[in-house]
Amino acid sequence: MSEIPEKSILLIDFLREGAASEQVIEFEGVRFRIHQHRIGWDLDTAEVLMREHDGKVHGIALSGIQKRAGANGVYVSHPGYQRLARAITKTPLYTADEVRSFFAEWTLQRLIREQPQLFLGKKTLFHCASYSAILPRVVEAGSEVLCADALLLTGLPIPLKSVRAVQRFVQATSWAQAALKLSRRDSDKRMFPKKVQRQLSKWVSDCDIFVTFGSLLDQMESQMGSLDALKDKIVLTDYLSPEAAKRIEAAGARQVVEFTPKHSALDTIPTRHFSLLTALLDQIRIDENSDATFNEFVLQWIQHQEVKPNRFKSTAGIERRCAFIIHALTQNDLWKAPGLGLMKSVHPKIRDLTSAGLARLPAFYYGALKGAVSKETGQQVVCDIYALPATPRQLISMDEAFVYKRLVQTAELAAKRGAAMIGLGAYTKVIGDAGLTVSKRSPIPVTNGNSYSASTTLWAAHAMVKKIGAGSGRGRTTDGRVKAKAMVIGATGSIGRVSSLLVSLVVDELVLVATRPDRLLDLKQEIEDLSPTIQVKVTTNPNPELHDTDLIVTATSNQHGSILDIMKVKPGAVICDCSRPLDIGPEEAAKRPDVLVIESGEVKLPGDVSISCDIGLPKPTVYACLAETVLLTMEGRYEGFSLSKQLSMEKVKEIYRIGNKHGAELAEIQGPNGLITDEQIQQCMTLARENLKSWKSPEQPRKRSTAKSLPRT
Amino acid sequence: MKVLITGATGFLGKQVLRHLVADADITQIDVISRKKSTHPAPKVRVLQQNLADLTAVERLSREDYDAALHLAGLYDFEAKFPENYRENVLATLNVISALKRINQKRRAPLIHASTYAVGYGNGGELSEAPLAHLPPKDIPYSYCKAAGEKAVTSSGIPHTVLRPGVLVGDSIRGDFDKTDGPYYFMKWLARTAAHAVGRRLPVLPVPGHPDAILPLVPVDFAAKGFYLALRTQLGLDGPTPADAVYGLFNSKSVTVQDFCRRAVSELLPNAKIFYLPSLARPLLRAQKILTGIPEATFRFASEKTALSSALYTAAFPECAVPEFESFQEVFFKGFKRHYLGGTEP
Repeated sequence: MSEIPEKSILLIDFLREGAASEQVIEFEGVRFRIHQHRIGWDLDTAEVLMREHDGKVHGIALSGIQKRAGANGVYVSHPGYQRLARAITKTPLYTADEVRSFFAEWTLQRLIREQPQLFLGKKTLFHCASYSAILPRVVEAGSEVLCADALLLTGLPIPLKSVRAVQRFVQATSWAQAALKLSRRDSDKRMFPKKVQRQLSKWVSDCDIFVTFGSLLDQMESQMGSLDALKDKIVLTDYLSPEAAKRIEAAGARQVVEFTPKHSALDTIPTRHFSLLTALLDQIRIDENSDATFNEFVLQWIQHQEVKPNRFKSTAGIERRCAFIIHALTQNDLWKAPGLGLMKSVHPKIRDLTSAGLARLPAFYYGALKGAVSKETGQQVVCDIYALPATPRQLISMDEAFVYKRLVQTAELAAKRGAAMIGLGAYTKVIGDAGLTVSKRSPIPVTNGNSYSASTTLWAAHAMVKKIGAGSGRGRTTDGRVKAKAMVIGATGSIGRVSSLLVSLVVDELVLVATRPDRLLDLKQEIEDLSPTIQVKVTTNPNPELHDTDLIVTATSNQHGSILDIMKVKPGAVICDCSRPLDIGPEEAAKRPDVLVIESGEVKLPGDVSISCDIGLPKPTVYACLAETVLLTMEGRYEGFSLSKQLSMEKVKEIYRIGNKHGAELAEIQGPNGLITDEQIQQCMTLARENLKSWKSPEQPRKRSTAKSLPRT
Repeated sequence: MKVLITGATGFLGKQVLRHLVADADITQIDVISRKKSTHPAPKVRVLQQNLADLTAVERLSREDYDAALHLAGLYDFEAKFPENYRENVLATLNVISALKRINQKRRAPLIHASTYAVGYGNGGELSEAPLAHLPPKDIPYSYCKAAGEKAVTSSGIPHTVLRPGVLVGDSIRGDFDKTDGPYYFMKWLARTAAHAVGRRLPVLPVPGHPDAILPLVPVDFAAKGFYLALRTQLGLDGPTPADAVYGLFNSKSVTVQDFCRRAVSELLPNAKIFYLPSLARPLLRAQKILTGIPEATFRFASEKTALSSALYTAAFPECAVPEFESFQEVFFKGFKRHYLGGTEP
């Protein structure tokens, strides 16, 4: 049997008092004998221990004392450490400084990336900021900080409220630290007298986030008797024993973040002393005769072992915030605002003038969507809704640059309130490059929501086609397509294009309608490449093709007149109107009770959703583009998911999957005249069956002759 | 059987060593000592070693001991915490460490000398079981002895822990090595009685609880207890026992009141005693200047702790510690011989 090399480490724990022990562990193939002494704050005894072990152990690790204290580049050497360092001459001395700071900052980076507004506007209490590397970063993340260093060291209830204050305190008291801390405490009660505990308890109750150390937390618990003060708090700590973690959760803490990664290599260390980990890693480095510096060695070790920061437990109970921009769909919507109701009864010219004036104003906070909770993760999301007081016509007529400016201003406003991302609704995503320019200038990610709009369009159409049985009875093609004819009007637009691509996977005949022939031909080619067996027609006029079309999807930005002649639509067809404003109005739809006209893109978000403002839909239904913003926030995907007028099929599928994951559902489907009930569908089907009996196709247009004209004589 | 013994030059250790030397079953005795001193018996070997030195572990673990008796420690209430920690904790840890290595090859139990003082400040009871908590640090001796004991009971090596009470002179002649515990008080009484004014003292305040027990143990009884515990652990007198913690004293020994009454009546018959069970620490410290009696002596006398020794008495009936009444004459004779007869230790 090969000999496993053995090394010995003296571990002196200044933060705990208790029986000494000796433990043997194996770490990275090396056996370590750890001689642990829990002596509390007693530098005299520590010095005696260190002198006895100098030259007789491979390393001495000090837990609870750092080389230096301070913040953000301003540090003082710890006088206790200096004294102890002078006591030995042969054995390397290790503290927690570098490794603990590294793990803390690494974990914090990830935490802020996943929950960017975690600290924004919150009160963070640091148990001992001058030993914590993350103070500046937490301040940068927007938190109001309060540091208990003065309370712990001097017993005086003086909160330090900034990095500068901590720096000044450390500098001013470095001499006092030596005087105050170098005396041995006779009793652990004197370490944290009752008045200090009471004050600390009060500060903990007032804070939202508590940054502490596992050892200090243990002391706090033993002196206060419980951890009830941590109820509803977010706790950040260097490490926690599994038992302590359970007690904190039982006390009702909202979230616990531990900086020490969970990894099998670290499980062998019986207590999570960063100084001990430093000693072990350095001894391995020495054993391997590595040329790397300690920091480099640690980096290599982390990569080699695939150590990752801890996953965070579900942040159920912690809200994430996003934002959404809407605008007035008609001039009448403007007069719904408080104080503007009288405008309904004034002269139209005054209304127009007022409307024009309002359109130049920046967006304002309109209301909020609350109560959205993921069914999968429990993540809560709040969406602030901002309104631009401009109609679609006004937005289209404005200079693009001006609109971009207004949208970016809104994003800035939203970011200040803590939104992690913002969505563009209705025409705000139609103007210009559909969010690309705004996204580049915005402080937070932007999405135009088109992916989910496309997704829910087809979701709704699919649901209706299934219900009404449109195209049924004709069977399927050899490659599994439904023998049915579909049409997409506005096919070359953002939503229209993706709708065309998705529908082309299902039906065997597709008509693409748009105003730009060149783009139509391009799209036709793309579809034929994707689905060679499909028959694709392109046209700028939908009417001749309506008589035998089973499914019509409209996704236009049409402002004037009808886009199709509804009287030519085949009985029993389903028209899926994705446009806002609607392409098929209530009066149009009412002309054909045997044709099912649905609005698409409406979603029911998971949770008990409430919306405090009127967004033009029955509450709590929301637009798909708004739902996309909320769902991405729920998922923690703060990114420009849907940008530009180009949509990708993959994203449409992906957002559909994300929606399903969190529990989003298709809302009850709306028609131009309100909710579509099963009864209405039944009536439509009955009428359609009747009308189909006498339905005649229109006369086919004469084909052009291919003969040349006779020459003139 | 080869046995290691530490503290063999101390008050208790010397008596234990005599038992070991006389025992034919013990064929070799290694005595740890810092000083090079000899014992006449050929089976006694002196190992010069500082137990607080980690190199002791390596050296001792190479030996083939069948058992170890760890009696060494610092018994000095005036000693500072670091010194106490080194001698009572670090040294114990090193002995444990050595025995752990030996136990990897063969069973080698440890008989460890703790003290009843580990029960100080633990809420009124000291049962014959491993300590759940350490006492407060304000008496370094208690804390460090408790830490050492806890290291033994949680070490995983076979062990018997004995917690002797206050060791006093032997039960035959009352001979003792140094002034300690009740002898401080007796010494002061004697000095006071030596002066005419002192002899007329009408009242005598005594810091202590009248009903607190002073667990006085004649050293020969304690030594026999350790010796028998060793034999038991070696399996020489029956099957090897499970790990145990014993109170090596009589749980009723003598109350503070009864002891003081007897002692004062001997030396200051005119004084009326009154007790101060909760005298503040600064005053206890201050009285030392007047009396020379360590503060800790009175602090132990002020604790009304329920002491258990039933398990010890059942396990070692032949050396069960008697109540003070049965050896008080010898005790006082011994004191008088040493202090008043000019042979003060």
